[in-house]
Amino acid sequence: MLLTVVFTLVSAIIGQNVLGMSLALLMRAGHRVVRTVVSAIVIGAWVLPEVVAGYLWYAYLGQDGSFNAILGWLRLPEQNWLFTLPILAVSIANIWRGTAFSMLVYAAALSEVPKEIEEAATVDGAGTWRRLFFVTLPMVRRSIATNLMLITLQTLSVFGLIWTMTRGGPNNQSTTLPIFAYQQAFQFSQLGYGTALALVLLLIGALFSLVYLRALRLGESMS
Amino acid sequence: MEPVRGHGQGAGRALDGRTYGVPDGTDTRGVWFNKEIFARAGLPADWQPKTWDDLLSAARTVKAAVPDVIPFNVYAGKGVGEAASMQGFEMLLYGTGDTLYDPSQQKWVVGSTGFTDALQFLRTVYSEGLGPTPQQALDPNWTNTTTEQLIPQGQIAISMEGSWISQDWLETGPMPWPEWSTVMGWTAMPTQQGQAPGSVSMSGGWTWAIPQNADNPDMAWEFITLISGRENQLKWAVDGVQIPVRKDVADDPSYTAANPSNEFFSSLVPTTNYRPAYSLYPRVSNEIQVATESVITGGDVAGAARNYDDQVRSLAGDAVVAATGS
Repeated sequence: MLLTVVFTLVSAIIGQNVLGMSLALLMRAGHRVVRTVVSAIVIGAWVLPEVVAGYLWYAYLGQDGSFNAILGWLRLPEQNWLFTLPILAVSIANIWRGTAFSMLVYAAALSEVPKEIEEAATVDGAGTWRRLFFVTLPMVRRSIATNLMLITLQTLSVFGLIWTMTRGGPNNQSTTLPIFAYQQAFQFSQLGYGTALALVLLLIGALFSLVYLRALRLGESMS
Repeated sequence: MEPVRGHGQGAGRALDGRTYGVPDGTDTRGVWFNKEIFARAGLPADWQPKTWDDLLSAARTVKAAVPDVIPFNVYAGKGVGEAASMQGFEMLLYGTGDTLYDPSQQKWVVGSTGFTDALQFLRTVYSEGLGPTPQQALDPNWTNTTTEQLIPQGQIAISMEGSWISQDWLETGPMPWPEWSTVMGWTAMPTQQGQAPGSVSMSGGWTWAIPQNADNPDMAWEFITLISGRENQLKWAVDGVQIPVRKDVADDPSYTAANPSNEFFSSLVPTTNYRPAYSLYPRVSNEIQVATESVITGGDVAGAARNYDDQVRSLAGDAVVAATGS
Protein backbone atom coordinates (compact mmCIF):
# COMPACT_ATOMS: atom_id res chain seq x y z
CA MET A 1 0.00 0.00 0.00
CA LEU A 2 2.72 2.46 1.04
CA LEU A 3 4.88 1.04 -1.75
CA THR A 4 2.11 1.74 -4.24
CA VAL A 5 1.98 5.38 -3.14
CA VAL A 6 5.79 5.67 -3.25
CA PHE A 7 5.85 4.09 -6.70
CA THR A 8 3.15 6.47 -7.95
CA LEU A 9 4.74 9.56 -6.39
CA VAL A 10 8.27 8.85 -7.57
CA SER A 11 7.60 7.47 -11.00
CA ALA A 12 4.49 9.33 -12.14
CA ILE A 13 4.00 12.57 -10.25
CA ILE A 14 7.66 13.47 -9.94
CA GLY A 15 9.46 11.47 -12.63
CA GLN A 16 7.21 11.34 -15.68
CA ASN A 17 5.57 14.69 -15.00
CA VAL A 18 8.68 16.79 -14.40
CA LEU A 19 10.78 15.05 -17.03
CA GLY A 20 7.95 15.27 -19.58
CA MET A 21 7.53 19.00 -18.91
CA SER A 22 11.29 19.62 -19.08
CA LEU A 23 11.58 17.78 -22.36
CA ALA A 24 8.63 19.64 -23.81
CA LEU A 25 10.10 23.00 -22.74
CA LEU A 26 13.57 22.18 -24.02
CA MET A 27 12.24 20.89 -27.31
CA ARG A 28 10.29 24.10 -27.86
CA ALA A 29 13.60 25.89 -27.88
CA GLY A 30 15.54 23.17 -29.70
CA HIS A 31 16.43 22.82 -33.35
CA ARG A 32 13.98 20.97 -35.60
CA VAL A 33 16.33 18.02 -36.17
CA VAL A 34 17.03 17.63 -32.45
CA ARG A 35 13.31 17.79 -31.82
CA THR A 36 12.55 15.04 -34.30
CA VAL A 37 15.29 12.73 -33.02
CA VAL A 38 14.46 13.22 -29.32
CA SER A 39 10.74 12.72 -29.77
CA ALA A 40 11.35 9.60 -31.86
CA ILE A 41 13.50 8.09 -29.10
CA VAL A 42 11.14 9.03 -26.27
CA ILE A 43 8.04 7.87 -28.10
CA GLY A 44 9.85 4.64 -29.00
CA ALA A 45 9.95 3.80 -25.30
CA TRP A 46 6.23 4.51 -25.08
CA VAL A 47 5.42 2.29 -28.05
CA LEU A 48 7.27 -0.77 -26.67
CA PRO A 49 4.98 -3.34 -25.05
CA GLU A 50 5.11 -3.25 -21.25
CA VAL A 51 6.62 -6.71 -20.93
CA VAL A 52 9.37 -5.97 -23.44
CA ALA A 53 10.22 -2.74 -21.62
CA GLY A 54 10.26 -4.65 -18.32
CA TYR A 55 12.58 -7.29 -19.69
CA LEU A 56 14.89 -4.64 -21.18
CA TRP A 57 15.24 -3.02 -17.78
CA TYR A 58 15.66 -6.37 -16.06
CA ALA A 59 18.52 -7.15 -18.45
CA TYR A 60 19.98 -3.66 -18.07
CA LEU A 61 19.94 -3.46 -14.26
CA GLY A 62 20.62 -7.14 -13.51
CA GLN A 63 23.80 -8.32 -11.84
CA ASP A 64 25.43 -9.24 -15.16
CA GLY A 65 23.54 -6.50 -17.00
CA SER A 66 24.72 -3.70 -19.24
CA PHE A 67 24.52 -1.03 -16.54
CA ASN A 68 27.02 -2.85 -14.33
CA ALA A 69 29.25 -3.39 -17.35
CA ILE A 70 29.25 0.37 -17.95
CA LEU A 71 29.89 1.08 -14.27
CA GLY A 72 32.72 -1.45 -14.24
CA TRP A 73 34.26 0.15 -17.31
CA LEU A 74 34.12 3.53 -15.57
CA ARG A 75 35.66 1.87 -12.48
CA LEU A 76 32.61 2.73 -10.39
CA PRO A 77 31.17 0.29 -7.82
CA GLU A 78 28.48 -2.11 -9.06
CA GLN A 79 24.83 -1.55 -8.27
CA ASN A 80 22.21 -4.21 -7.66
CA TRP A 81 19.05 -2.17 -7.33
CA LEU A 82 16.80 -5.00 -8.49
CA PHE A 83 17.85 -6.71 -5.26
CA THR A 84 18.61 -3.90 -2.81
CA LEU A 85 16.14 -1.22 -3.88
CA PRO A 86 13.65 -2.86 -6.25
CA ILE A 87 11.06 -0.09 -5.91
CA LEU A 88 13.62 2.38 -7.30
CA ALA A 89 14.46 0.03 -10.16
CA VAL A 90 10.82 -0.36 -11.23
CA SER A 91 10.22 3.37 -10.76
CA ILE A 92 13.08 4.23 -13.11
CA ALA A 93 11.72 1.79 -15.65
CA ASN A 94 8.26 3.32 -15.38
CA ILE A 95 9.63 6.85 -15.80
CA TRP A 96 11.56 5.73 -18.87
CA ARG A 97 8.49 4.17 -20.34
CA GLY A 98 5.88 6.75 -19.42
CA THR A 99 7.61 10.10 -19.95
CA ALA A 100 6.63 10.26 -23.61
CA PHE A 101 2.97 10.61 -22.71
CA SER A 102 3.56 13.65 -20.49
CA MET A 103 5.91 15.11 -23.04
CA LEU A 104 3.32 14.89 -25.81
CA VAL A 105 0.57 16.40 -23.66
CA TYR A 106 2.79 19.28 -22.54
CA ALA A 107 4.23 19.92 -25.97
CA ALA A 108 0.69 20.33 -27.29
CA ALA A 109 -0.27 22.62 -24.39
CA LEU A 110 2.85 24.78 -24.70
CA SER A 111 2.32 25.31 -28.40
CA GLU A 112 -0.99 26.96 -27.51
CA VAL A 113 0.70 29.56 -25.29
CA PRO A 114 0.74 32.81 -27.30
CA LYS A 115 4.26 34.06 -28.01
CA GLU A 116 3.18 37.68 -27.39
CA ILE A 117 2.47 37.14 -23.71
CA GLU A 118 5.87 35.64 -23.05
CA GLU A 119 7.51 38.40 -25.07
CA ALA A 120 5.60 40.99 -23.07
CA ALA A 121 6.87 39.41 -19.85
CA THR A 122 10.43 39.58 -21.16
CA VAL A 123 9.98 43.23 -22.05
CA ASP A 124 8.68 43.84 -18.53
CA GLY A 125 11.97 42.48 -17.24
CA ALA A 126 11.05 38.94 -16.15
CA GLY A 127 13.93 36.44 -16.22
CA THR A 128 13.68 32.96 -17.67
CA TRP A 129 12.60 31.25 -14.41
CA ARG A 130 10.14 33.95 -13.40
CA ARG A 131 8.62 33.82 -16.88
CA LEU A 132 8.29 30.05 -16.61
CA PHE A 133 6.72 29.93 -13.17
CA PHE A 134 4.50 33.01 -13.33
CA VAL A 135 3.49 33.12 -16.98
CA THR A 136 3.97 29.91 -18.93
CA LEU A 137 3.09 27.23 -16.34
CA PRO A 138 -0.06 28.97 -15.04
CA MET A 139 -1.29 29.16 -18.61
CA VAL A 140 -1.01 25.39 -19.10
CA ARG A 141 -2.19 24.42 -15.58
CA ARG A 142 -5.29 22.69 -16.89
CA SER A 143 -3.21 20.43 -19.06
CA ILE A 144 -0.98 19.76 -16.04
CA ALA A 145 -3.96 18.68 -13.94
CA THR A 146 -5.37 16.47 -16.68
CA ASN A 147 -2.00 14.92 -17.36
CA LEU A 148 -1.37 14.30 -13.65
CA MET A 149 -4.69 12.54 -13.32
CA LEU A 150 -4.09 10.32 -16.34
CA ILE A 151 -0.55 9.27 -15.45
CA THR A 152 -1.44 8.71 -11.80
CA LEU A 153 -4.26 6.35 -12.70
CA GLN A 154 -2.03 4.64 -15.25
CA THR A 155 0.82 4.17 -12.80
CA LEU A 156 -1.40 2.96 -9.97
CA SER A 157 -2.39 0.00 -12.11
CA VAL A 158 1.05 -0.87 -13.55
CA PHE A 159 1.41 -4.65 -13.38
CA GLY A 160 3.35 -6.15 -16.30
CA LEU A 161 6.44 -4.00 -15.83
CA ILE A 162 6.90 -4.94 -12.17
CA TRP A 163 5.91 -8.56 -12.70
CA THR A 164 8.51 -8.97 -15.44
CA MET A 165 11.28 -7.24 -13.51
CA THR A 166 10.90 -8.49 -9.94
CA ARG A 167 7.66 -10.50 -9.45
CA GLY A 168 7.09 -8.11 -6.53
CA GLY A 169 10.20 -9.33 -4.72
CA PRO A 170 12.59 -9.75 -3.15
CA ASN A 171 10.92 -9.96 0.23
CA ASN A 172 7.82 -8.18 -1.21
CA GLN A 173 9.78 -4.95 -1.51
CA SER A 174 8.23 -4.14 -4.86
CA THR A 175 4.80 -5.68 -4.27
CA THR A 176 2.44 -2.87 -5.20
CA LEU A 177 -1.32 -3.31 -4.83
CA PRO A 178 -1.96 -4.73 -8.31
CA ILE A 179 0.78 -7.37 -7.79
CA PHE A 180 -0.57 -8.23 -4.34
CA ALA A 181 -4.14 -8.45 -5.62
CA TYR A 182 -3.04 -10.75 -8.45
CA GLN A 183 -1.18 -13.05 -6.06
CA GLN A 184 -4.12 -13.30 -3.69
CA ALA A 185 -6.75 -13.78 -6.39
CA PHE A 186 -5.02 -16.02 -8.89
CA GLN A 187 -2.15 -17.73 -7.08
CA PHE A 188 -3.83 -18.36 -3.74
CA SER A 189 -7.39 -18.63 -5.13
CA GLN A 190 -8.59 -15.87 -2.77
CA LEU A 191 -10.86 -14.18 -5.30
CA GLY A 192 -12.80 -12.26 -2.64
CA TYR A 193 -9.69 -10.78 -1.10
CA GLY A 194 -8.29 -9.91 -4.52
CA THR A 195 -11.52 -8.13 -5.44
CA ALA A 196 -11.47 -6.18 -2.18
CA LEU A 197 -7.91 -5.07 -2.95
CA ALA A 198 -8.98 -3.95 -6.40
CA LEU A 199 -11.69 -1.82 -4.75
CA VAL A 200 -9.09 -0.24 -2.48
CA LEU A 201 -7.04 0.57 -5.57
CA LEU A 202 -10.12 2.17 -7.10
CA LEU A 203 -10.55 4.30 -3.97
CA ILE A 204 -6.93 5.50 -4.06
CA GLY A 205 -7.36 6.41 -7.71
CA ALA A 206 -10.58 8.27 -6.89
CA LEU A 207 -8.83 10.17 -4.10
CA PHE A 208 -6.02 11.32 -6.37
CA SER A 209 -8.56 12.26 -9.07
CA LEU A 210 -10.57 14.36 -6.60
CA VAL A 211 -7.46 16.29 -5.62
CA TYR A 212 -6.63 17.01 -9.26
CA LEU A 213 -10.20 17.90 -10.20
CA ARG A 214 -10.29 20.31 -7.28
CA ALA A 215 -7.04 21.89 -8.47
CA LEU A 216 -8.48 22.18 -11.94
CA ARG A 217 -11.66 23.91 -10.76
CA LEU A 218 -9.63 26.25 -8.59
CA GLY A 219 -7.71 27.18 -11.70
CA GLU A 220 -10.90 27.94 -13.62
CA SER A 221 -12.29 30.29 -10.96
CA MET A 222 -9.03 32.19 -11.00
CA SER A 223 -9.00 32.80 -14.71
CA MET B 1 -6.61 -49.75 -19.76
CA GLU B 2 -3.18 -50.66 -18.39
CA PRO B 3 -3.19 -50.00 -14.65
CA VAL B 4 -1.29 -46.96 -13.44
CA ARG B 5 1.90 -48.08 -11.77
CA GLY B 6 3.16 -47.57 -8.25
CA HIS B 7 2.44 -44.21 -6.72
CA GLY B 8 1.51 -42.76 -10.09
CA GLN B 9 -2.18 -42.74 -9.31
CA GLY B 10 -1.57 -40.49 -6.29
CA ALA B 11 -1.32 -37.55 -8.66
CA GLY B 12 -5.05 -37.35 -9.23
CA ARG B 13 -6.28 -38.31 -5.77
CA ALA B 14 -8.33 -35.76 -3.89
CA LEU B 15 -8.85 -35.18 -0.18
CA ASP B 16 -11.81 -37.59 -0.06
CA GLY B 17 -9.58 -40.42 -1.29
CA ARG B 18 -11.27 -40.67 -4.68
CA THR B 19 -9.39 -40.23 -7.93
CA TYR B 20 -10.76 -37.49 -10.18
CA GLY B 21 -8.27 -37.25 -13.01
CA VAL B 22 -6.28 -39.40 -15.42
CA PRO B 23 -2.60 -38.42 -15.22
CA ASP B 24 -0.88 -37.81 -18.57
CA GLY B 25 2.57 -38.24 -17.15
CA THR B 26 4.49 -37.23 -14.09
CA ASP B 27 7.95 -36.07 -13.11
CA THR B 28 10.47 -36.93 -10.42
CA ARG B 29 13.30 -35.01 -8.82
CA GLY B 30 16.87 -35.81 -7.99
CA VAL B 31 20.41 -34.49 -7.96
CA TRP B 32 22.24 -33.49 -11.16
CA PHE B 33 26.01 -33.02 -11.13
CA ASN B 34 28.70 -31.97 -13.60
CA LYS B 35 31.18 -34.83 -14.01
CA GLU B 36 33.87 -32.55 -15.50
CA ILE B 37 33.84 -30.30 -12.44
CA PHE B 38 33.75 -33.41 -10.24
CA ALA B 39 36.88 -34.75 -11.99
CA ARG B 40 38.71 -31.49 -11.33
CA ALA B 41 37.70 -31.67 -7.66
CA GLY B 42 38.73 -35.32 -7.40
CA LEU B 43 35.17 -36.56 -6.90
CA PRO B 44 33.92 -39.78 -8.53
CA ALA B 45 31.89 -39.80 -11.76
CA ASP B 46 29.54 -42.40 -10.28
CA TRP B 47 28.89 -40.26 -7.19
CA GLN B 48 26.06 -41.52 -5.00
CA PRO B 49 25.49 -39.42 -1.88
CA LYS B 50 23.89 -41.42 0.94
CA THR B 51 23.13 -38.61 3.39
CA TRP B 52 22.78 -34.82 3.51
CA ASP B 53 26.31 -34.67 4.90
CA ASP B 54 27.58 -36.41 1.76
CA LEU B 55 25.98 -33.62 -0.30
CA LEU B 56 27.53 -30.91 1.86
CA SER B 57 30.99 -32.46 1.90
CA ALA B 58 30.98 -32.84 -1.89
CA ALA B 59 29.94 -29.19 -2.20
CA ARG B 60 32.73 -28.14 0.18
CA THR B 61 35.26 -30.17 -1.81
CA VAL B 62 34.14 -28.44 -5.03
CA LYS B 63 34.30 -25.02 -3.36
CA ALA B 64 37.89 -25.63 -2.27
CA ALA B 65 39.12 -27.19 -5.53
CA VAL B 66 37.13 -25.29 -8.18
CA PRO B 67 36.44 -21.88 -6.63
CA ASP B 68 35.00 -20.19 -9.73
CA VAL B 69 31.79 -22.30 -9.96
CA ILE B 70 28.65 -22.48 -7.84
CA PRO B 71 29.17 -25.71 -5.87
CA PHE B 72 25.57 -26.55 -4.98
CA ASN B 73 22.36 -25.01 -6.31
CA VAL B 74 19.24 -25.51 -4.17
CA TYR B 75 16.23 -23.38 -5.05
CA ALA B 76 14.89 -21.19 -2.25
CA GLY B 77 12.90 -18.00 -1.75
CA LYS B 78 9.86 -16.45 -3.39
CA GLY B 79 11.58 -15.39 -6.61
CA VAL B 80 11.53 -18.85 -8.17
CA GLY B 81 8.13 -19.68 -6.68
CA GLU B 82 7.10 -23.33 -6.55
CA ALA B 83 10.60 -24.52 -7.53
CA ALA B 84 11.78 -23.35 -4.10
CA SER B 85 9.05 -25.37 -2.41
CA MET B 86 9.26 -28.51 -4.49
CA GLN B 87 12.76 -28.93 -5.97
CA GLY B 88 14.24 -27.37 -2.86
CA PHE B 89 12.55 -27.51 0.51
CA GLU B 90 10.17 -30.46 0.13
CA MET B 91 12.93 -32.69 -1.26
CA LEU B 92 14.70 -32.05 2.04
CA LEU B 93 11.67 -32.26 4.33
CA TYR B 94 10.34 -35.53 2.93
CA GLY B 95 13.79 -37.05 3.45
CA THR B 96 13.59 -36.41 7.18
CA GLY B 97 10.54 -38.58 7.71
CA ASP B 98 8.38 -35.55 8.44
CA THR B 99 5.74 -34.24 6.04
CA LEU B 100 3.67 -31.14 5.39
CA TYR B 101 0.36 -32.87 5.86
CA ASP B 102 -0.96 -35.78 7.85
CA PRO B 103 -3.41 -37.58 5.56
CA SER B 104 -4.79 -39.89 8.29
CA GLN B 105 -5.94 -36.93 10.37
CA GLN B 106 -6.40 -34.65 7.34
CA LYS B 107 -4.42 -31.93 9.07
CA TRP B 108 -1.42 -29.73 8.26
CA VAL B 109 1.67 -30.51 10.32
CA VAL B 110 3.42 -27.74 12.26
CA GLY B 111 6.42 -27.72 14.57
CA SER B 112 8.19 -30.76 13.12
CA THR B 113 11.91 -31.35 13.68
CA GLY B 114 12.29 -32.17 10.00
CA PHE B 115 11.03 -28.74 9.05
CA THR B 116 13.70 -27.04 11.16
CA ASP B 117 16.39 -29.46 9.93
CA ALA B 118 15.54 -28.73 6.29
CA LEU B 119 15.74 -24.97 6.93
CA GLN B 120 19.04 -25.46 8.76
CA PHE B 121 20.40 -27.37 5.74
CA LEU B 122 19.51 -24.46 3.45
CA ARG B 123 21.04 -21.99 5.88
CA THR B 124 24.27 -24.01 5.93
CA VAL B 125 24.44 -24.15 2.12
CA TYR B 126 23.91 -20.41 1.70
CA SER B 127 25.87 -19.13 4.70
CA GLU B 128 28.96 -21.18 3.83
CA GLY B 129 28.85 -19.80 0.29
CA LEU B 130 28.21 -23.27 -1.15
CA GLY B 131 25.11 -22.09 -3.00
CA PRO B 132 24.37 -19.17 -5.31
CA THR B 133 24.29 -15.69 -3.79
CA PRO B 134 20.87 -14.72 -2.38
CA GLN B 135 20.68 -12.11 -5.11
CA GLN B 136 20.97 -14.81 -7.78
CA ALA B 137 18.64 -17.23 -5.99
CA LEU B 138 15.88 -14.63 -5.56
CA ASP B 139 15.97 -13.49 -9.19
CA PRO B 140 12.57 -14.44 -10.69
CA ASN B 141 14.31 -15.90 -13.77
CA TRP B 142 16.85 -17.96 -11.79
CA THR B 143 15.46 -21.38 -12.80
CA ASN B 144 15.89 -20.51 -16.49
CA THR B 145 19.31 -19.02 -15.89
CA THR B 146 20.52 -22.25 -14.31
CA THR B 147 19.17 -24.78 -16.80
CA GLU B 148 19.64 -22.74 -19.98
CA GLN B 149 22.86 -20.95 -19.12
CA LEU B 150 24.89 -21.85 -16.04
CA ILE B 151 24.60 -25.66 -16.10
CA PRO B 152 25.46 -25.98 -19.83
CA GLN B 153 28.34 -23.50 -19.34
CA GLY B 154 29.75 -25.66 -16.55
CA GLN B 155 29.14 -23.03 -13.87
CA ILE B 156 27.19 -25.22 -11.45
CA ALA B 157 28.63 -28.41 -9.94
CA ILE B 158 25.58 -29.89 -8.19
CA SER B 159 21.92 -28.94 -8.60
CA MET B 160 18.75 -30.32 -7.04
CA GLU B 161 16.57 -30.44 -10.11
CA GLY B 162 13.69 -32.05 -11.92
CA SER B 163 13.75 -35.07 -14.21
CA TRP B 164 12.77 -32.89 -17.17
CA ILE B 165 15.66 -30.44 -17.40
CA SER B 166 17.45 -32.24 -20.27
CA GLN B 167 14.42 -31.15 -22.34
CA ASP B 168 16.12 -27.72 -22.58
CA TRP B 169 19.28 -29.29 -24.02
CA LEU B 170 17.69 -31.37 -26.77
CA GLU B 171 18.05 -30.23 -30.35
CA THR B 172 14.53 -28.82 -30.16
CA GLY B 173 15.08 -27.08 -26.83
CA PRO B 174 16.03 -23.47 -26.06
CA MET B 175 19.68 -24.37 -25.35
CA PRO B 176 20.84 -27.29 -27.52
CA TRP B 177 23.72 -29.04 -25.76
CA PRO B 178 24.52 -32.40 -27.38
CA GLU B 179 27.25 -33.21 -24.84
CA TRP B 180 24.89 -33.03 -21.87
CA SER B 181 24.53 -36.76 -21.42
CA THR B 182 28.27 -37.29 -21.08
CA VAL B 183 29.02 -34.16 -19.03
CA MET B 184 26.15 -34.46 -16.59
CA GLY B 185 25.53 -37.20 -14.08
CA TRP B 186 22.36 -37.79 -12.11
CA THR B 187 21.64 -39.55 -8.88
CA ALA B 188 18.87 -39.89 -6.31
CA MET B 189 18.37 -37.32 -3.56
CA PRO B 190 19.51 -38.98 -0.31
CA THR B 191 17.45 -38.94 2.85
CA GLN B 192 18.75 -36.96 5.81
CA GLN B 193 20.70 -39.74 7.59
CA GLY B 194 20.36 -42.32 4.84
CA GLN B 195 17.26 -43.75 6.52
CA ALA B 196 14.91 -46.02 4.53
CA PRO B 197 14.03 -45.97 1.71
CA GLY B 198 17.44 -44.34 1.19
CA SER B 199 16.31 -41.77 -1.34
CA VAL B 200 13.54 -39.27 -1.76
CA SER B 201 11.72 -37.71 -4.68
CA MET B 202 8.79 -35.36 -5.17
CA SER B 203 6.38 -35.61 -8.08
CA GLY B 204 3.80 -33.46 -9.76
CA GLY B 205 2.11 -33.58 -13.10
CA TRP B 206 -1.10 -32.89 -14.92
CA THR B 207 -4.30 -34.86 -15.16
CA TRP B 208 -7.21 -34.97 -17.54
CA ALA B 209 -10.57 -34.64 -15.82
CA ILE B 210 -14.16 -34.15 -16.91
CA PRO B 211 -16.06 -31.30 -15.24
CA GLN B 212 -19.32 -32.22 -13.54
CA ASN B 213 -21.35 -29.98 -15.86
CA ALA B 214 -19.64 -31.02 -19.09
CA ASP B 215 -21.96 -30.92 -22.12
CA ASN B 216 -20.67 -34.14 -23.58
CA PRO B 217 -18.93 -36.26 -20.94
CA ASP B 218 -18.99 -39.39 -23.11
CA MET B 219 -17.02 -37.78 -25.88
CA ALA B 220 -14.64 -36.24 -23.33
CA TRP B 221 -14.06 -39.70 -21.92
CA GLU B 222 -13.47 -41.07 -25.40
CA PHE B 223 -10.89 -38.33 -25.98
CA ILE B 224 -9.13 -39.06 -22.68
CA THR B 225 -9.07 -42.76 -23.57
CA LEU B 226 -7.51 -41.92 -26.93
CA ILE B 227 -4.74 -39.65 -25.62
CA SER B 228 -4.02 -41.98 -22.72
CA GLY B 229 -3.47 -44.92 -25.05
CA ARG B 230 -0.09 -46.60 -25.22
CA GLU B 231 1.12 -45.03 -28.48
CA ASN B 232 0.17 -41.48 -27.59
CA GLN B 233 1.53 -41.72 -24.06
CA LEU B 234 4.80 -43.09 -25.40
CA LYS B 235 5.21 -40.21 -27.87
CA TRP B 236 4.35 -37.65 -25.19
CA ALA B 237 6.76 -39.21 -22.70
CA VAL B 238 9.62 -39.22 -25.22
CA ASP B 239 9.07 -35.77 -26.76
CA GLY B 240 8.26 -34.01 -23.50
CA VAL B 241 10.85 -35.84 -21.35
CA GLN B 242 7.97 -36.97 -19.16
CA ILE B 243 7.95 -39.81 -16.66
CA PRO B 244 5.28 -42.23 -17.89
CA VAL B 245 2.48 -43.30 -15.58
CA ARG B 246 1.67 -46.35 -17.72
CA LYS B 247 3.82 -49.35 -16.88
CA ASP B 248 3.92 -50.57 -20.48
CA VAL B 249 5.23 -47.19 -21.64
CA ALA B 250 7.86 -47.06 -18.89
CA ASP B 251 9.03 -50.55 -19.86
CA ASP B 252 9.07 -49.79 -23.58
CA PRO B 253 12.64 -50.05 -24.93
CA SER B 254 12.15 -46.99 -27.15
CA TYR B 255 11.30 -44.89 -24.10
CA THR B 256 14.46 -45.84 -22.23
CA ALA B 257 16.54 -45.49 -25.40
CA ALA B 258 15.19 -42.02 -26.20
CA ASN B 259 17.00 -40.24 -23.38
CA PRO B 260 19.81 -41.64 -21.22
CA SER B 261 18.31 -40.17 -18.04
CA ASN B 262 14.81 -41.59 -18.63
CA GLU B 263 15.37 -45.00 -17.08
CA PHE B 264 16.83 -43.59 -13.88
CA PHE B 265 14.25 -40.88 -13.22
CA SER B 266 11.44 -43.26 -14.13
CA SER B 267 12.80 -45.74 -11.57
CA LEU B 268 12.17 -43.18 -8.79
CA VAL B 269 8.39 -43.42 -9.20
CA PRO B 270 7.79 -46.22 -6.66
CA THR B 271 9.25 -44.15 -3.79
CA THR B 272 8.21 -40.68 -4.85
CA ASN B 273 5.96 -38.33 -2.86
CA TYR B 274 3.11 -36.13 -3.96
CA ARG B 275 2.41 -32.72 -2.51
CA PRO B 276 -0.77 -32.27 -0.49
CA ALA B 277 -2.17 -30.41 -3.46
CA TYR B 278 -5.38 -29.24 -1.80
CA SER B 279 -6.92 -25.80 -2.07
CA LEU B 280 -4.81 -24.46 0.81
CA TYR B 281 -1.53 -25.73 -0.63
CA PRO B 282 -0.62 -22.66 -2.75
CA ARG B 283 -0.71 -20.47 0.36
CA VAL B 284 1.19 -23.01 2.48
CA SER B 285 3.74 -23.26 -0.32
CA ASN B 286 4.06 -19.47 -0.29
CA GLU B 287 4.82 -19.62 3.45
CA ILE B 288 7.51 -22.24 2.75
CA GLN B 289 9.07 -19.88 0.21
CA VAL B 290 8.96 -17.04 2.74
CA ALA B 291 10.67 -19.25 5.37
CA THR B 292 13.41 -20.37 2.96
CA GLU B 293 13.97 -16.80 1.75
CA SER B 294 14.40 -15.71 5.34
CA VAL B 295 17.06 -18.31 6.17
CA ILE B 296 19.11 -17.88 2.98
CA THR B 297 19.31 -14.13 3.58
CA GLY B 298 20.70 -14.71 7.06
CA GLY B 299 17.53 -14.98 9.16
CA ASP B 300 17.54 -17.44 12.04
CA VAL B 301 16.06 -20.91 11.55
CA ALA B 302 13.94 -21.11 14.69
CA GLY B 303 12.31 -17.77 13.94
CA ALA B 304 11.49 -18.71 10.35
CA ALA B 305 10.01 -22.06 11.46
CA ARG B 306 7.95 -20.38 14.18
CA ASN B 307 6.65 -17.82 11.70
CA TYR B 308 5.68 -20.64 9.30
CA ASP B 309 3.81 -22.44 12.08
CA ASP B 310 1.93 -19.26 13.01
CA GLN B 311 0.99 -18.55 9.42
CA VAL B 312 -0.19 -22.11 8.76
CA ARG B 313 -2.24 -22.04 11.97
CA SER B 314 -3.97 -18.88 10.85
CA LEU B 315 -4.51 -20.24 7.31
CA ALA B 316 -5.76 -23.70 8.23
CA GLY B 317 -7.58 -22.94 11.48
CA ASP B 318 -8.46 -26.22 13.20
CA ALA B 319 -6.93 -28.39 10.48
CA VAL B 320 -3.47 -28.23 12.08
CA VAL B 321 -1.64 -30.83 14.13
CA ALA B 322 1.60 -30.45 16.07
CA ALA B 323 4.23 -32.96 14.98
CA THR B 324 4.65 -35.89 17.33
CA GLY B 325 7.81 -36.00 19.40
CA SER B 326 8.31 -32.25 19.40
